Amino acid sequence: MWAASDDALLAGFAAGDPDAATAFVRRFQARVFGLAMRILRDPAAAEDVAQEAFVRAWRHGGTYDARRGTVPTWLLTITRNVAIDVLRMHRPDPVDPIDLIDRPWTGRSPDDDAVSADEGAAVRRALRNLPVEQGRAVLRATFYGATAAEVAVAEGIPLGTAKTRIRTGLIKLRASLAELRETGP
Amino acid sequence: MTARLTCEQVREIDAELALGTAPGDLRETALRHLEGCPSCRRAVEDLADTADALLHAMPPVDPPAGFESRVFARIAADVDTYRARPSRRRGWAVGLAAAVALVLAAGAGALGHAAVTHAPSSTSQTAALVALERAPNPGARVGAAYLAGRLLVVSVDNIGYDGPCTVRVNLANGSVSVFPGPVLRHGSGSAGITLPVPGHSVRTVTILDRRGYAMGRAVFVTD
Repeated sequence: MWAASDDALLAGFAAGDPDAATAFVRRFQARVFGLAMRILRDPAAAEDVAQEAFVRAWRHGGTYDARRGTVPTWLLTITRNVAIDVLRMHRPDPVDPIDLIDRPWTGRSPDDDAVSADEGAAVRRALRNLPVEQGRAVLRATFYGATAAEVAVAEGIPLGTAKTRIRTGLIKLRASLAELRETGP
Repeated sequence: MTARLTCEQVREIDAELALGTAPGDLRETALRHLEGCPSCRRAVEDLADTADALLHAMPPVDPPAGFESRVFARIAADVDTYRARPSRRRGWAVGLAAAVALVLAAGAGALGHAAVTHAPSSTSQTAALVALERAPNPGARVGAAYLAGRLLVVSVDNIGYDGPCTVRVNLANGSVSVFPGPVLRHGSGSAGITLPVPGHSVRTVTILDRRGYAMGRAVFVTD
């Protein structure tokens, strides 16, 4: 079961197989909870979001379509969307987005493999290499679901400036990641 | 309805499209462009991959002890809730009737005068919403669309997608209107829309996901 592919585990989870379900939750719980913690900062709220993300994965896993992305991306997107819903309801002014990458994390999952850890670190490094105002804009959009208009209000800048920062930031990030993938982390 | 966008105009908002944060009306027009422009679509998908990489970049954190059993307890509670729902075969019809009732009850407040003056009549039509190729469950009946006068009610049930969707309405004269759709939760949701034209000129109603993929379509019988 531990060697099963992500797709196979998700299929088993959605079909109600207890072993697959346990393995699926254990395989992804640290990533799901980690993302929720980063966005919400509060362990109780983050756990609520993480639980809800797995419930939705169970509910919709039977209709997961690999053409739309990998299982981890699908699950983390669900997590992010649930977190944004909770954020908007309970916390109209989220914390400074720079805290999403600069604040040290509080724990690691023991079976988190080295490759994905390096890729995550590489992406965070690429983010920090962006001009800080572009990084803030991209982080607000990605993790808080902020539109350009909302970024403009939060950062106290004109709408056009917000749009440019989001776009330039994401394009530079894409270029950095492409370079990293060619040369290695 | 906004005019078509050029590639240059779409590229200006490619990042916002990839992040899913482009403003509603502009997004719908841009998505129409993407449907017919492979190079712009590739550019947006490329940036969407970058946005996805960001999601993966947050460090994992072990949840508190007992997390796993709490997830399973929550799923068990969810199973009980699902068992209490109307059967799937009738689900979409029940959902639509409820959605229409809610919209009409909201009446003048929610949708304006049109909803009240164009109540269900002999000229109203209903069409099944069928999941399309890109949906997780193609061919399945995933809801319904109801037309009465200038009122369009769309009810979606178990389309296998969560989040904001867009409703695209194709008219008999070939023109297209797009509207913000419901925010789907548990793959379901409904919305009422006041059309700028009489409902009998509607030919198809399509539900698009946040990236512009057509998920489901209802086809209305021609006059």
